[in-house]
Amino acid sequence: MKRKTFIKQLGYGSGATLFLPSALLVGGCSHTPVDRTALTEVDVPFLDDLGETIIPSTPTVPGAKATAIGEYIVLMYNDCMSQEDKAILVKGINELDRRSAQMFEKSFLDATPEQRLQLLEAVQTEAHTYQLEMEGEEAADAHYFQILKGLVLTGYFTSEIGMTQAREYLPVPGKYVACMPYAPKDKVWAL
Amino acid sequence: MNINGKVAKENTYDAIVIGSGISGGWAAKELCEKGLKTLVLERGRMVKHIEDYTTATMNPWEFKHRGAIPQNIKEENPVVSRCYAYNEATEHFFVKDKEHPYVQKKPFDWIRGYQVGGKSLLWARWTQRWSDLDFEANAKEGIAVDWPIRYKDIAPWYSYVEQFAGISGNKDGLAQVPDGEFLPPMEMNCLEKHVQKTLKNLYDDRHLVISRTANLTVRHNGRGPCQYRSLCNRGCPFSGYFSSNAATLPAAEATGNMTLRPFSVVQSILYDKDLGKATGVRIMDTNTKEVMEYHAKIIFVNGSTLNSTLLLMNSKSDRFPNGMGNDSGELGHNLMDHNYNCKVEGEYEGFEDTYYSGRRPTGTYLARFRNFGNDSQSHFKRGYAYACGGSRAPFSDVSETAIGLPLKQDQTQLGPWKFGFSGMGECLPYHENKISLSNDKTDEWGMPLLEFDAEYKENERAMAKDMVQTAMEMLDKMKFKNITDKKESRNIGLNIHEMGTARMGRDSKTSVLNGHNQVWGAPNVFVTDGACMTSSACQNPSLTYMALTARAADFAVNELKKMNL
Ligand SMILES: Cc1cc2nc3c(=O)[nH]c(=O)nc-3n(C[C@H](O)[C@H](O)[C@H](O)COP(=O)(O)OP(=O)(O)OC[C@H]3O[C@@H](n4cnc5c(N)ncnc54)[C@H](O)[C@@H]3O)c2cc1C
Ligand code: SF4
Repeated sequence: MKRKTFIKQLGYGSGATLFLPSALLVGGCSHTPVDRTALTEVDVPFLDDLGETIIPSTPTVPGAKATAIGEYIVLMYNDCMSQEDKAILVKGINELDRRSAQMFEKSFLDATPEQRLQLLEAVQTEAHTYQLEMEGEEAADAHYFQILKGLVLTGYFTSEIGMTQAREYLPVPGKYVACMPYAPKDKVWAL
Repeated sequence: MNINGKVAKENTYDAIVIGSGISGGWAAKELCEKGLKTLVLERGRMVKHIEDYTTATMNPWEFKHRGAIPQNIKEENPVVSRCYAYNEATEHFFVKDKEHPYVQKKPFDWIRGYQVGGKSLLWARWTQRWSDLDFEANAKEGIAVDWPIRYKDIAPWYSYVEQFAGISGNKDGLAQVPDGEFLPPMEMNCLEKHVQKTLKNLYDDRHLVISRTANLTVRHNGRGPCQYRSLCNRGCPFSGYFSSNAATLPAAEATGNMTLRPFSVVQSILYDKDLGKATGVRIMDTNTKEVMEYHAKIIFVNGSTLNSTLLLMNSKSDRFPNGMGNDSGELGHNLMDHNYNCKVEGEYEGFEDTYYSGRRPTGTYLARFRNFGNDSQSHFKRGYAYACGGSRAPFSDVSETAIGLPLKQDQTQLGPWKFGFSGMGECLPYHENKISLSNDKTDEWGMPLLEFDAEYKENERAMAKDMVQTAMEMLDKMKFKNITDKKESRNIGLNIHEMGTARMGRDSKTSVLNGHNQVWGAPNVFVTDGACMTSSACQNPSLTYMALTARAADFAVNELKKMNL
């Protein structure tokens, strides 16, 4: 499939028409999705919940929200991302907002954790399909969910919680052990 | 008269060293230890050992952008932003393109560090010796000119600098990377040992060794040992690796003979036609913009390859209308950089129950096997080595498709072992690959801008192709899975092994320097950094700059004593 047509079908900029019956586009929802032109501080709670859905808390290790992932994403958005990636991400966040309203008649923030997971799992599948389609295409745009997930993973695993609780951090190892036993229950080093 | 005489005296030293990086640090140490009052002129700011390593002990989450370089800085400085070591924790040791412009007739990534210590703070510390395979290559193949030295001339100086710097390594008995004076080696991990053994079984000529590295595995000369943090390019609070700041400059300082003057851009070297030698240098103080002169009996030029040549080119006189030492017309020509356009990786199924601990600040080294021993290639001359490494990190296929709990679990558990090959290829010296002075653009410090006109050619491209193919073949034979060519593609320059442009040779008609790094026609000027290199070999070059510098300093002081300079 040609890259251009595929992106169009994915619905960049024109709503997620490919994935949703148009009937859902009208009426009934108590949440009015926002059509952002940029990510700002206002989006931090939304981004926190997106992050928490991607990396959730477990009984012993807090998830992405506890690392202030929303703040991190807005900071990266403002300071460190290319114009292209920023544009893709904003459209993607708008789309998630809209799809949440359409699917649950609620904002993502008000949706249940199960609903959030359901939506993001669907989007993850779309992103993966897109990636497979784009394989070998030079200079293909990234899928917005790929960008979002990348930000959440990097932000989480460079945070103090991610490094010292989810993984194990040795600031000054003092020695190098070239070969040692490992079992799946063991922690991995934060680098 | 009187006043002038006094100023002249105050500004007179036995020796001047230009630059305080890897080679300048060595020149300063050697000359000071031999009793010469030495002025070290450094264009950048002071970086005090440990005290000025402002990020050395910061945790990743303490950096505002967790290590990332902001987009606006990247856009303003595209060249340095392509360097793998440039990040939020190290950026203060790198030159920003915007602040120090140059002209690219063809793309050239010029990576620089302007401060006391130069790039010695930033380097990756790989230190393999060169051998006669390298020093004889030009003569054997009729390429460029012959090196005026052989391995036996430099071998004792390798030993000398290794003993002071502290090089960890294993005596592997390989002719193409001769053994040196090593501290105990770092160890290979399980997969690396497996690869070493498997390669040995599959081939006669593929030797994987631990890279010889200027990190201290034991305490050495009051420094170290290394604590295995692998954060070296922020500066090391344990003095665990070799830098000018940790090692050579303190030794020079301890003699009481060194005067170190930061913020001093040397603009040109002054030449006296009647004496037939240089008398001193002209500098600009970068804070006051004041221009002044310093005088000395001998001058060591250690501004790092291209800045050293820039300085010679900018030192014009009646005797040298085209730049100091340029009777041959070779000054500025024969620019080389290694070719690293090969990165290949594969996954290994096995050793799932093994891991490692600590961050080893080096890797493994697959020594050159092309056009060496029984191997002979028809498509390219010379050869390459690989920087290799086995590692294990979280991330498996699960992470590609999962979110939520399975993703979190996958990211906190190890994935398969991976092994990577990064090719490091020799680049031939081509007369056409050159730098020159802009005739209309100058920088803030009154220096003409450098113009770059260099590229990899057919030999480098054919070699890079072979590096990729051969690495994939080896991984395949060793039964690795998911073998991928990462399509590494770098501009010339980005491998930060720029060499040539004031080459050593056997006569003044075809080279700029003689076999002791003396400038032809200005025998009290010595150029001992990468500018002097006659070919590029495929080993990391800085150890060779160190050895050549110590050798030239010894020669210079002997000549001074004999009143020959
Ligand atoms: C990330 C990185 C990794 C590297 N890894 C390796 C490696 O593993 N092995 C290896 O062998 N090499 C490596 N290198 C290359 C190595 O750093 C250089 O070869 C080495 O530093 C060169 O030493 P030098 O003395 O010539 O120059 P530098 O160390 O760059 O020092 C030159 C000094 O001269 C000063 N200067 C320049 N012009 C003037 C002037 N006109 N007046 C006054 N002062 C001036 C500069 O400010 C600077 O301080 C690496 C480099 C980098 C950046
Ligand atoms: S790895 Fe060793 S040398 Fe490098 S910064 Fe850490 S302790 Fe220092």
